[in-house]
Amino acid sequence: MSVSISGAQPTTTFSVGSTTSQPSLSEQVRRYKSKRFKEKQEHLSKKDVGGSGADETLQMKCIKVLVANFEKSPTHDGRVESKHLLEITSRLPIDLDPKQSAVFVHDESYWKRACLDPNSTLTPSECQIVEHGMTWKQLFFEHHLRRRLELFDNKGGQDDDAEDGKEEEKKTAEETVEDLLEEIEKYQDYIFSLSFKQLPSHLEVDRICEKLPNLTKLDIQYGINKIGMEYDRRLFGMKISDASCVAKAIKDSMNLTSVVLCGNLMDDDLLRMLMTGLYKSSTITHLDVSHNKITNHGVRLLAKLLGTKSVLTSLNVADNQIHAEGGRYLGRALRSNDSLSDLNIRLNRLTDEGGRMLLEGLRDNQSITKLNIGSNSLGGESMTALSVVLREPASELLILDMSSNQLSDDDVDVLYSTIQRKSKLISLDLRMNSTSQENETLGRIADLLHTNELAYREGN
Amino acid sequence: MAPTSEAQEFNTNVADKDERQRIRRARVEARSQSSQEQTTAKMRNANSRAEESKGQQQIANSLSHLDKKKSSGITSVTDIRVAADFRENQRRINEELLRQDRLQRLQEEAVRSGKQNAAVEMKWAELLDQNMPQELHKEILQQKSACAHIIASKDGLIREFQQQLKSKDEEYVKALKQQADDIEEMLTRMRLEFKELQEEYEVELEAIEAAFLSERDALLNNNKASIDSLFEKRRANEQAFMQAKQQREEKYQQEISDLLVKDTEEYNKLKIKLETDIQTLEQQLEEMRATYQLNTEKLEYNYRVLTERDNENTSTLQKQKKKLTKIKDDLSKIVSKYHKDDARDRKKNEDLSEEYRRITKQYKDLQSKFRHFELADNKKFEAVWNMHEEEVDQYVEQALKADKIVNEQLLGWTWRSPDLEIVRNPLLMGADEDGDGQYTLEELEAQKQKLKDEEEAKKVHVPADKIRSIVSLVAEEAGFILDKGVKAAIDSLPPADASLAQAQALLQALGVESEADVAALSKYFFVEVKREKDPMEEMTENAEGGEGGDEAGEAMERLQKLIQPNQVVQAINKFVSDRKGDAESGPAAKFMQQVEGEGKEAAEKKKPSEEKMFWDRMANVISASNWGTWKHLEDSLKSYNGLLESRATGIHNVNDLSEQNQKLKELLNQYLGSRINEELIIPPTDTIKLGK
Repeated sequence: MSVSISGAQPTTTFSVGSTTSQPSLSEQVRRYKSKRFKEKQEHLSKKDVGGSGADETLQMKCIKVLVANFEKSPTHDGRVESKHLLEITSRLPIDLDPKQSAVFVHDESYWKRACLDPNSTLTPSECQIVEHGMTWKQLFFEHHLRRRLELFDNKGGQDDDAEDGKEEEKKTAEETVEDLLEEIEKYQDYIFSLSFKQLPSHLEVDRICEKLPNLTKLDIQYGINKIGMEYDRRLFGMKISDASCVAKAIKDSMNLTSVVLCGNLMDDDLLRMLMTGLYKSSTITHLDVSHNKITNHGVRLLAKLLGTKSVLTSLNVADNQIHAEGGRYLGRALRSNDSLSDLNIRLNRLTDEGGRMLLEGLRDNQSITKLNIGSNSLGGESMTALSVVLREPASELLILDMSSNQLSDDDVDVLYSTIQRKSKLISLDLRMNSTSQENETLGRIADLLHTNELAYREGN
Repeated sequence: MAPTSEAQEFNTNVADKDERQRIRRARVEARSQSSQEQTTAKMRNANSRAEESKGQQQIANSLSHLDKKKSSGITSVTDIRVAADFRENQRRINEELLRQDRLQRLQEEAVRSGKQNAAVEMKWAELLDQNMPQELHKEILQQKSACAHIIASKDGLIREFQQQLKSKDEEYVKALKQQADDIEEMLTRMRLEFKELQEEYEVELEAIEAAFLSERDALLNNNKASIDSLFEKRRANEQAFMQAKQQREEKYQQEISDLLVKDTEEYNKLKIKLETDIQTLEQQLEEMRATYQLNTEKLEYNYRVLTERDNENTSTLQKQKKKLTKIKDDLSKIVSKYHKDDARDRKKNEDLSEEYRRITKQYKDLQSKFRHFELADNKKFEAVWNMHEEEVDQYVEQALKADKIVNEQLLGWTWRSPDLEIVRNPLLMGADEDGDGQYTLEELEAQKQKLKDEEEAKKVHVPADKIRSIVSLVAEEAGFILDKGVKAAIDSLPPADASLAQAQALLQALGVESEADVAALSKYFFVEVKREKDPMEEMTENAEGGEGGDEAGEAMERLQKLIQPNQVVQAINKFVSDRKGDAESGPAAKFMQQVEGEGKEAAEKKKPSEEKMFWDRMANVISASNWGTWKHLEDSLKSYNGLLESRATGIHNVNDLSEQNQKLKELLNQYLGSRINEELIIPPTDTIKLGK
């Protein structure tokens, strides 16, 4: 397909715009002008509708033909002038083959149409372009890939479940994997985030990630949606092979910054397998392994990620099975770390001793701003360690969650005196502790925090 | 902030939506009222400031209220999660306790059953020894019951655990339900919060708007009042101004009418005066016109003359230009000629200087020759002198003889012959010589002294600084008198020696060789008056200069009287020319001076005078008295001679006259005897006869 010289200019503008935030801008511009244009377009369309055949301009006829045959021989901006291209894309049916449309359609309004169509699989709550780089095309394809992967597993899963029997079926399954990869290759440029809630086929994630050079976020949950009465415990959770695939994907990726592995029934062995990838990566800043079955040993592995050369800024190990020893490991790691700013250890079994050890480690830390140690059976010892941390002038702790612990009235008084003396804390959660109902100290703490917050807001 | 009573009063946690809204409105109104009261109170204290910030205050109030509302909403929503967390935590703790309990019980049971097992085992061993079937049976039954007991205890444990499992199941179901309820609750709370927050926002927005509106109204009223007052003030001012204006106008009208009357009078007067003026001026104008006419004619004539002159001037200018170009050509020609001549003359000069050198050499030779010839001349002179002396002696003798003859024979006086020796040598002249031309010893001494003085006068020292200044002046102004070669030689020398060498060279070039010359030279350079004097008088002048010895001391002062640099060349010229003249006028003396030197000079000077005197003496051998007698004698003799001559002429004349008379007598006779006398009417003879 030859590209004419006259069309070179619009080509570049459109192709650049399709991957950057420009489309949203261009869309805004278009929206701004739409009031004027609408009349004209309506006028035109009325004419088109009114005058059948004879009244139609040659251009309109051509456009109609182009639209009808778009799937077979797609038109792209090199061959048609950009104003006609807009007309064509506005007339295209939204159920085009994504493989074709990914390459040849760059008009954001088309993708918006495709996403917001009531027949599409996207729910209105999922149509948030803010979470998808402000482009409808990215939103569409990220969702498309997710759906493909989640549905693909059904076929593959059925093939697997159909049990070795027919080799032909297996072959087709194999082919489908190849097809899938080929298809992904078509729209690889528009995938920045890969996420799925189920993957019964347990495809090799690294093979998919290989095809996605722009991937920055990996959100994977090995589960089953709407399982109903076919519940089988084996269907849930990550397998060893999955873990090794994910580790490989993390290791090979150059742009990956965020890894979310919630609710995968991950135990220490799986985590160890994952760590082989995480150790090698120097780009990941956000790691979420909440709602798993990680114990002290797993925490010891994770603590190695928090070395002096660490770039990790956010770590979430909420709802795991971490005990006092885990607190010690984390505390020791945080002593020399200067990157981590957000730590969530909610709903673990740190106990008072573990909390003390963790908070003692935080004493010299100057990077942590947000800490969640709720539901950990913390008590007096942790509170004394915390007051030492809060008294440090270098401490940057702003948001602290200590709900559902075993703090007594005396502990709250200690905390109050600490905050009163000197602290930057702007948010503190002390609910569901073993304090008496009418404790006035809580109210006073809230007032102090409020003034702190106002000062912080003014500072910013 | 808000007191608890108020909080209770305005509690928003009421089911009915309208009721809630009403309560909220009421609260906002109450608050705004209180704030208004506060503001009015403040206004009494400090007027306007509180009023200005009314809107701002409302905004701050609303924001803080909304903040509170939001935080309380968040708390109420998150409460569920926290409660669930708490429950979960508690459950886990309980779970752990139960698990530990289970483990303990399992262990206990294992220990117990182990013991029993061991007991049963031991029994089995004992049973092998039993022979009695009944006993064996009994024992076996016992064993069985024991085993059953163990199994029963284990089964009990299992049952218990199963019971627990069941309860767990129920608990799970309950937890599920609880979670579903929680989620439901959370959703409702969120919705509620959302709605409430929205309403709150609306209410607060309205309140803020109302505050701003009221503020605006107040401002508007204020402004209107102030504007009204300003308008009133303006109107009053306008009225006052109008009245003042009217008064002023009347006054001005009056003044104008007065001025009009006055001005008309003045105008009339002025008119008359001006008319007379016009008449006189017209007359003047006529006069002026006549004069101008005359002037124009004159000027025209002048103009014509001038134009002609101008033409002449232009023609002369052109002529001059032509001349100028011609002259320029000439100049260029002359310049080129000059260059040529200059080169030629330079060459000539060199040749001449070369010749000069040769000539000086010749001159030196000549001098030596001269010396030689001089000696020869002297000898010759001596010889001539002796010869002449003899001759003179003869003449003297002759003269004396003549004197003797005159005295003795003509006059009849006794004659005394003068001593010839004394006459020849004045030193031997005795007292007997008392007549004129006699020389005494005193006179000779005086003469000697005079000569000495002259010598000393010649040695007059010219101050060194004078010389130096002269030399430097000459070097500056008339460096050309030096040869090129000499100049080059001087240039090559070091500066100190160079000046000396230059001075020497210069002086040599000027022909200055002795100090006397230097002094002479200095005269040309210092005193103009002296410079004009006859060079022949230089000597005497020198003598005078020597007498005034202190004049040398004043040289420094005179140094300033140095002649102007531009006169230097003239001075040199004059000096050289004078020197030349000097040399020509007295070449012998000069040469004598130069050749003999200072020592011989006196003798040389003496000689001619002596000779002269000698000759004088010789000439005066016949003394003045004698000479006078001679003269008288001569005179008388001459007169006598004259007388004699006159007598001779008289005799001669008589002779001539007698001769003439004779001749005339013959002639008369001849005439009278001629025939013609007879033919005449009146013959002359008749008349002569009458006369006869």
